[in-house]
Amino acid sequence: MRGEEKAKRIFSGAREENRSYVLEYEVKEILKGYEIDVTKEVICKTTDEALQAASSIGYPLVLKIVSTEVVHKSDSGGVKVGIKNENELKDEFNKMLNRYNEKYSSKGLKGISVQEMVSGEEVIIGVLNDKQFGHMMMVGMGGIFVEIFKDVAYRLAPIEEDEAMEMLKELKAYKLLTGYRGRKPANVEALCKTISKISKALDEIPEVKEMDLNPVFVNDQRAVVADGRIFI
Amino acid sequence: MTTKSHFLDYLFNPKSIALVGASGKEGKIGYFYLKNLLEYKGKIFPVNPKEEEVLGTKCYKSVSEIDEEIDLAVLVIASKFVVDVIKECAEKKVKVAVVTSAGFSETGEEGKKLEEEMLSIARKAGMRIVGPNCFGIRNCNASLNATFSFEASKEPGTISFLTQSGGGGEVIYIQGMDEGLKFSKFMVCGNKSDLDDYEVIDYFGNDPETNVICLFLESIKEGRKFYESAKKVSSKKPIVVCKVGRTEGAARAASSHTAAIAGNTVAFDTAFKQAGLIQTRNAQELIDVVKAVDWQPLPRGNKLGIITASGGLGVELTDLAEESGLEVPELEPEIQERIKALIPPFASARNPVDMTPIWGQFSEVMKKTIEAFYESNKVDIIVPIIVLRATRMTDLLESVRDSILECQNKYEAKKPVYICWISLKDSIQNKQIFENAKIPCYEWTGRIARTSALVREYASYLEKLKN
Repeated sequence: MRGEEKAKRIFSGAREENRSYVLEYEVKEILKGYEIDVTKEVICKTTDEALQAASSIGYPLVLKIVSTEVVHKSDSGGVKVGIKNENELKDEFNKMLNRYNEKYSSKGLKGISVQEMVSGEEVIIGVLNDKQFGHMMMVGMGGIFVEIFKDVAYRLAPIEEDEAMEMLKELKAYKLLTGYRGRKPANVEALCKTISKISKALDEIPEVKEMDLNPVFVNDQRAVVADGRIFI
Repeated sequence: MTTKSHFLDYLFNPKSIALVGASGKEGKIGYFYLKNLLEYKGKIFPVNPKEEEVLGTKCYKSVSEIDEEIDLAVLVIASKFVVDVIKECAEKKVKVAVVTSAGFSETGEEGKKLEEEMLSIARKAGMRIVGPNCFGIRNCNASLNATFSFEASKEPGTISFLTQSGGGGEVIYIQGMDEGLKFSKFMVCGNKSDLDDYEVIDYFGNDPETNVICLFLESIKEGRKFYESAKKVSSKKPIVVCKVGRTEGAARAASSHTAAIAGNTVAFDTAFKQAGLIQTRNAQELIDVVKAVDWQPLPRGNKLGIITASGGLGVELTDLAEESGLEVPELEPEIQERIKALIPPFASARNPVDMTPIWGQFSEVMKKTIEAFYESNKVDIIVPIIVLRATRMTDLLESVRDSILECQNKYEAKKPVYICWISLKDSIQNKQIFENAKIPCYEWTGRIARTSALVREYASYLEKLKN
């Protein structure tokens, strides 16, 4: 229920601002309500706040712009990964702020998100709402596998964890998750739990038209949603 | 016979039928419907205000004039008269109306209004509507033919067929019959103003006279309900579907990455697969697969055992099969030894078994090899390739058929047999020797590979459900 309440509140907030999309940190709030693992983050307005956030999250870090004006963060210089220390943090924080202010109005700016940086295989989890069949889940390996090879699998929601596993096994790039060429096998069980939880949550949040959770990082420990968008 | 608990029983086994628009004049649509309906064992009441008598049967001025209960009304009249007749039918407490008339929602706004008006009258009265803009229905097991086509199955069957398209559906029905399929129920759903696919799938699912469900659809109205019904029914009976045409989903605005990657047929493909439907790409495949699941047992694995007198065609089938996810594995050494004893030293017993053209021993080698295939753990689907000269030798064909039937009786392990048949026109009729015994013959290798792969996919879906 926590997820549902959060979602309703966030969706109505977005509507009030005339937005048909939900920002990354809002998506993560909703997901946390459904007990889905997301990257830790603090939205900071100043470098002091950022430094404080960094000390609780730990390096390396990711910085991302948070603004209702920016839907495609990376296209507008709004993402910086691999921040290793305090100096880099202060420097990149200010640079990102300047880049933003050159192009966009400060009205939509909510701050800069200071996030934990997770490594692992990149996975995309998507949701569609088909006119006739309703919510569908999509899963694929991130990066070029989805962009170029369109190596993805679909199921109508909701699905159980074993069905999520079947989806992963349908992927040509599935081997990347099982310890290919000396990598540690990824925690696919955790990934399947995440996929299944999302698919079941959709019943409570029918407003979701489309959702991209991209990337979701899967390593030998966890499956963590590192970024996401929802269209309502 | 099914018990009268479902409204579709009134459609497929009505006690009485009113045919509105009946005509005694040859060439009129109402004449064809009447002629067909007069073959039915139930009572037929022709209705036409301009006629006293049609084809020797009393004709009524209106539906209300009939003094008996009417289960089914078939409307063969212009669209402008439909609403009034539906009103009468509603008052008369008719259970189901088949509205064949065109000129409704398929033509635009005006027609859409007319359709809604008709529907609201029917809904208030609890009467169900098939169509409008539909070709009609048949119950081949009860000599009920409520269409204007004289083509009707003379033999009882177990395949029930729901089609949206009248013309396309009729072609599949007739072609299917020509290919030896025996139909049970046939229904054209037309505009689906009221009755929807999922209700028919549910009904066919519970119908003891239906073993296989065949669907030829252009659109699906209630996707989720279709999915739920199909999923439930496919665990009991195979549902073979050919969905043609693009969806309105194509117009979906793609703002997310996910939507951009998903094409407009993804939802259908996903739903069909997840519901355990066998999806074919076209009508010919539809007939091929229906034949396979209606006539032969489901394969327990994906391995083909091929016996051929032509090495090249054996290799061609092997390629196509393996490209479709099937296997053509080498047989066990002991099975190979048994086969080697039957064939010339230059022939191959590995699989495909290439017997080479040894016509004299053909019957014997076929018989023993098919037996060996039944006993082999490396074979789940048996494919004899029968070509040219062999297709002319009826004695030979009969003996191969008998060997197959004998094996199917004798062995516990049920393995489907599909014949790959390649003949000239002069001997094509000889494939009936097999098909009359429900052993399907598919022309050329591609159709066998495709059919085997689709049927196997369904079988493995069922296996997964059980586990």
